[in-house]
Amino acid sequence: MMSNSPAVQAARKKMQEARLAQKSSNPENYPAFYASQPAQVERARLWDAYSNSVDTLNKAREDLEVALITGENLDAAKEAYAIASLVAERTKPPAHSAQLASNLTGA
Amino acid sequence: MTATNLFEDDILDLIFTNVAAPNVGDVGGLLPSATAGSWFISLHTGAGVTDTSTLQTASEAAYTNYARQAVARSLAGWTVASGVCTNDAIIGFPNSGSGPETETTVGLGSATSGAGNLQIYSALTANLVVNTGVTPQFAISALAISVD
Repeated sequence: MMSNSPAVQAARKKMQEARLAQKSSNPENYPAFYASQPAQVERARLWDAYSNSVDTLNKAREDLEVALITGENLDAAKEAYAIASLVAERTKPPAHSAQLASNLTGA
Repeated sequence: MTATNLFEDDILDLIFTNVAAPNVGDVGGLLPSATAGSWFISLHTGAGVTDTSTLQTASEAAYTNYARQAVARSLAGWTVASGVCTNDAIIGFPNSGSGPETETTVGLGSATSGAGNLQIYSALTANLVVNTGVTPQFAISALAISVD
Protein backbone atom coordinates (compact mmCIF):
# COMPACT_ATOMS: atom_id res chain seq x y z
CA MET A 1 0.00 0.00 0.00
CA MET A 2 1.31 3.42 -0.90
CA SER A 3 2.06 5.49 2.19
CA ASN A 4 -0.01 8.62 2.72
CA SER A 5 2.42 10.19 5.19
CA PRO A 6 2.94 13.97 4.88
CA ALA A 7 6.61 13.43 4.03
CA VAL A 8 5.78 11.09 1.15
CA GLN A 9 3.07 13.41 -0.13
CA ALA A 10 5.46 16.38 0.07
CA ALA A 11 8.11 14.48 -1.88
CA ARG A 12 5.56 13.53 -4.52
CA LYS A 13 4.40 17.16 -4.77
CA LYS A 14 8.00 18.39 -5.14
CA MET A 15 8.61 15.99 -8.03
CA GLN A 16 5.28 16.89 -9.62
CA GLU A 17 6.18 20.59 -9.57
CA ALA A 18 9.62 19.95 -11.09
CA ARG A 19 8.11 17.74 -13.77
CA LEU A 20 5.38 20.23 -14.67
CA ALA A 21 7.91 23.07 -14.83
CA GLN A 22 9.94 21.07 -17.33
CA LYS A 23 6.86 20.06 -19.27
CA SER A 24 5.81 23.68 -19.56
CA SER A 25 9.18 25.19 -20.41
CA ASN A 26 10.55 22.53 -22.73
CA PRO A 27 7.99 19.92 -23.82
CA GLU A 28 10.28 18.49 -26.50
CA ASN A 29 12.98 17.65 -23.95
CA TYR A 30 10.45 16.65 -21.31
CA PRO A 31 10.51 12.88 -22.09
CA ALA A 32 14.29 12.76 -21.58
CA PHE A 33 13.96 14.76 -18.38
CA TYR A 34 11.22 12.41 -17.17
CA ALA A 35 13.32 9.32 -17.83
CA SER A 36 16.18 10.75 -15.78
CA GLN A 37 14.11 11.26 -12.62
CA PRO A 38 15.22 9.03 -9.72
CA ALA A 39 11.85 7.29 -9.43
CA GLN A 40 11.87 6.46 -13.14
CA VAL A 41 15.47 5.26 -13.06
CA GLU A 42 14.59 2.96 -10.17
CA ARG A 43 11.43 1.71 -11.89
CA ALA A 44 13.46 1.03 -15.03
CA ARG A 45 16.00 -0.90 -12.99
CA LEU A 46 13.28 -3.04 -11.43
CA TRP A 47 11.71 -3.78 -14.80
CA ASP A 48 15.11 -4.66 -16.28
CA ALA A 49 15.70 -7.09 -13.43
CA TYR A 50 12.27 -8.61 -13.99
CA SER A 51 12.87 -8.86 -17.73
CA ASN A 52 16.13 -10.71 -17.11
CA SER A 53 14.35 -13.06 -14.72
CA VAL A 54 11.71 -13.83 -17.32
CA ASP A 55 14.39 -14.50 -19.94
CA THR A 56 16.07 -16.92 -17.53
CA LEU A 57 12.72 -18.56 -16.76
CA ASN A 58 11.97 -19.03 -20.45
CA LYS A 59 15.37 -20.63 -20.99
CA ALA A 60 14.87 -22.90 -17.96
CA ARG A 61 11.46 -23.92 -19.27
CA GLU A 62 12.97 -24.82 -22.63
CA ASP A 63 15.75 -26.83 -20.95
CA LEU A 64 13.17 -28.66 -18.85
CA GLU A 65 11.10 -29.53 -21.92
CA VAL A 66 14.20 -30.99 -23.57
CA ALA A 67 15.14 -32.89 -20.41
CA LEU A 68 11.63 -34.31 -20.13
CA ILE A 69 11.96 -35.63 -23.66
CA THR A 70 15.50 -36.98 -23.44
CA GLY A 71 15.72 -37.79 -19.75
CA GLU A 72 19.13 -36.16 -19.61
CA ASN A 73 19.90 -33.76 -16.72
CA LEU A 74 16.28 -33.97 -15.66
CA ASP A 75 16.82 -33.29 -11.96
CA ALA A 76 19.06 -30.31 -12.65
CA ALA A 77 16.59 -28.93 -15.17
CA LYS A 78 13.70 -29.27 -12.73
CA GLU A 79 15.66 -27.52 -10.02
CA ALA A 80 16.75 -24.72 -12.35
CA TYR A 81 13.16 -24.22 -13.48
CA ALA A 82 11.87 -24.10 -9.90
CA ILE A 83 14.48 -21.51 -8.92
CA ALA A 84 13.88 -19.41 -12.03
CA SER A 85 10.12 -19.46 -11.38
CA LEU A 86 10.64 -18.22 -7.85
CA VAL A 87 13.05 -15.48 -8.90
CA ALA A 88 10.70 -14.27 -11.64
CA GLU A 89 7.80 -14.17 -9.22
CA ARG A 90 9.76 -12.26 -6.59
CA THR A 91 11.30 -9.72 -8.93
CA LYS A 92 8.04 -8.68 -10.57
CA PRO A 93 7.50 -4.96 -9.83
CA PRO A 94 4.20 -4.10 -8.16
CA ALA A 95 1.32 -3.03 -10.37
CA HIS A 96 -0.29 0.31 -9.62
CA SER A 97 -3.53 -1.40 -8.75
CA ALA A 98 -1.81 -3.16 -5.89
CA GLN A 99 -0.68 0.16 -4.44
CA LEU A 100 -3.92 2.08 -4.64
CA ALA A 101 -6.42 2.78 -1.95
CA SER A 102 -9.72 4.56 -1.43
CA ASN A 103 -9.62 4.86 2.33
CA LEU A 104 -12.83 6.45 3.56
CA THR A 105 -12.87 6.91 7.31
CA GLY A 106 -15.46 8.19 9.72
CA ALA A 107 -14.56 10.88 12.21
CA MET B 1 -1.30 -2.27 -25.20
CA THR B 2 -0.27 -0.29 -22.18
CA ALA B 3 0.61 3.30 -21.45
CA THR B 4 4.18 4.25 -20.65
CA ASN B 5 4.93 5.76 -17.25
CA LEU B 6 5.44 9.11 -18.94
CA PHE B 7 2.07 9.03 -20.66
CA GLU B 8 0.33 7.79 -17.51
CA ASP B 9 1.50 10.91 -15.70
CA ASP B 10 0.63 13.12 -18.66
CA ILE B 11 -2.93 11.82 -18.77
CA LEU B 12 -3.33 12.18 -15.01
CA ASP B 13 -1.93 15.74 -15.23
CA LEU B 14 -4.50 16.60 -17.86
CA ILE B 15 -7.42 15.00 -16.05
CA PHE B 16 -6.64 16.20 -12.53
CA THR B 17 -4.56 19.36 -12.86
CA ASN B 18 -5.68 20.60 -16.27
CA VAL B 19 -2.14 20.61 -17.64
CA ALA B 20 -1.66 19.75 -21.32
CA ALA B 21 -0.48 16.27 -22.29
CA PRO B 22 2.30 17.22 -24.72
CA ASN B 23 3.56 15.51 -27.84
CA VAL B 24 0.25 14.07 -28.99
CA GLY B 25 -0.44 15.23 -32.52
CA ASP B 26 1.94 18.13 -32.05
CA VAL B 27 4.29 19.37 -29.35
CA GLY B 28 1.45 21.15 -27.59
CA GLY B 29 -0.46 17.89 -27.43
CA LEU B 30 -3.85 17.45 -25.78
CA LEU B 31 -4.83 20.85 -24.48
CA PRO B 32 -6.34 21.77 -21.11
CA SER B 33 -9.99 22.70 -20.62
CA ALA B 34 -10.79 26.38 -21.09
CA THR B 35 -12.23 26.29 -17.57
CA ALA B 36 -10.48 23.92 -15.21
CA GLY B 37 -13.47 23.42 -12.92
CA SER B 38 -13.57 20.70 -10.30
CA TRP B 39 -14.08 17.04 -9.74
CA PHE B 40 -17.10 16.37 -7.56
CA ILE B 41 -16.52 13.46 -5.22
CA SER B 42 -19.51 11.28 -4.37
CA LEU B 43 -20.21 8.29 -2.14
CA HIS B 44 -22.33 5.34 -3.17
CA THR B 45 -23.97 2.37 -1.54
CA GLY B 46 -24.36 -1.29 -2.45
CA ALA B 47 -23.15 -2.56 -5.81
CA GLY B 48 -25.05 -0.04 -7.89
CA VAL B 49 -22.03 1.56 -9.56
CA THR B 50 -20.47 -0.39 -12.40
CA ASP B 51 -18.58 0.30 -15.63
CA THR B 52 -21.95 0.85 -17.31
CA SER B 53 -23.01 3.59 -14.89
CA THR B 54 -23.27 7.09 -16.31
CA LEU B 55 -24.99 9.16 -13.61
CA GLN B 56 -23.58 10.41 -10.34
CA THR B 57 -26.91 9.61 -8.72
CA ALA B 58 -26.37 5.85 -9.20
CA SER B 59 -26.94 4.34 -5.75
CA GLU B 60 -25.65 7.59 -4.30
CA ALA B 61 -25.42 8.16 -0.58
CA ALA B 62 -28.56 9.70 0.85
CA TYR B 63 -27.87 10.19 4.55
CA THR B 64 -29.16 13.43 6.01
CA ASN B 65 -26.82 16.36 5.20
CA TYR B 66 -24.86 14.36 2.55
CA ALA B 67 -23.45 16.43 -0.31
CA ARG B 68 -20.78 15.87 -2.96
CA GLN B 69 -17.42 17.48 -2.34
CA ALA B 70 -15.52 19.55 -4.91
CA VAL B 71 -11.79 19.26 -5.52
CA ALA B 72 -10.40 21.74 -8.02
CA ARG B 73 -8.62 20.40 -11.08
CA SER B 74 -5.40 22.09 -10.08
CA LEU B 75 -1.92 21.67 -8.74
CA ALA B 76 -3.30 22.63 -5.35
CA GLY B 77 -5.92 19.92 -5.47
CA TRP B 78 -4.02 16.88 -6.63
CA THR B 79 -0.52 15.43 -6.72
CA VAL B 80 0.50 13.32 -9.70
CA ALA B 81 3.72 11.32 -9.40
CA SER B 82 4.88 7.91 -10.59
CA GLY B 83 1.59 7.07 -12.24
CA VAL B 84 -0.59 7.77 -9.22
CA CYS B 85 -2.77 10.79 -8.47
CA THR B 86 -3.63 11.60 -4.85
CA ASN B 87 -5.67 14.29 -3.09
CA ASP B 88 -3.77 17.19 -1.49
CA ALA B 89 -6.34 18.11 1.15
CA ILE B 90 -8.82 16.27 3.33
CA ILE B 91 -12.02 15.53 1.45
CA GLY B 92 -14.61 15.81 4.17
CA PHE B 93 -18.28 14.99 3.75
CA PRO B 94 -20.98 16.53 5.95
CA ASN B 95 -21.71 15.14 9.37
CA SER B 96 -24.46 12.57 9.10
CA GLY B 97 -27.86 13.28 10.57
CA SER B 98 -29.17 9.78 9.96
CA GLY B 99 -28.08 6.19 9.57
CA PRO B 100 -27.01 3.55 9.33
CA GLU B 101 -26.01 3.68 5.67
CA THR B 102 -23.11 1.63 4.28
CA GLU B 103 -20.86 3.42 1.81
CA THR B 104 -19.13 1.03 -0.57
CA THR B 105 -17.92 3.11 -3.49
CA VAL B 106 -16.40 6.49 -4.28
CA GLY B 107 -17.15 8.32 -7.51
CA LEU B 108 -15.75 11.31 -9.37
CA GLY B 109 -18.01 13.27 -11.66
CA SER B 110 -18.88 16.56 -13.25
CA ALA B 111 -21.70 18.06 -11.20
CA THR B 112 -22.05 19.39 -7.70
CA SER B 113 -25.57 17.93 -7.51
CA GLY B 114 -28.15 16.26 -9.70
CA ALA B 115 -27.58 13.63 -12.38
CA GLY B 116 -24.22 14.89 -13.65
CA ASN B 117 -21.76 12.53 -15.31
CA LEU B 118 -20.08 9.75 -13.38
CA GLN B 119 -16.63 9.31 -14.90
CA ILE B 120 -14.40 7.50 -12.41
CA TYR B 121 -15.26 5.17 -9.55
CA SER B 122 -13.68 2.69 -7.19
CA ALA B 123 -14.75 0.34 -4.47
CA LEU B 124 -13.69 1.67 -1.10
CA THR B 125 -10.79 -0.17 0.48
CA ALA B 126 -13.22 -0.93 3.30
CA ASN B 127 -16.92 -0.17 3.53
CA LEU B 128 -17.87 2.58 5.95
CA VAL B 129 -21.09 2.38 7.97
CA VAL B 130 -22.36 5.92 8.44
CA ASN B 131 -24.48 6.47 11.53
CA THR B 132 -25.79 9.69 13.01
CA GLY B 133 -22.87 11.91 14.00
CA VAL B 134 -20.33 10.27 11.67
CA THR B 135 -18.29 12.52 9.34
CA PRO B 136 -16.92 10.51 6.40
CA GLN B 137 -13.65 11.74 5.02
CA PHE B 138 -10.68 10.90 2.84
CA ALA B 139 -7.45 11.95 4.55
CA ILE B 140 -4.72 13.60 2.50
CA SER B 141 -3.56 11.17 -0.22
CA ALA B 142 -6.11 8.57 0.91
CA LEU B 143 -7.80 8.73 -2.48
CA ALA B 144 -5.47 7.35 -5.15
CA ILE B 145 -6.16 7.07 -8.86
CA SER B 146 -3.99 5.53 -11.54
CA VAL B 147 -3.88 5.03 -15.27
CA ASP B 148 -2.22 1.77 -16.18
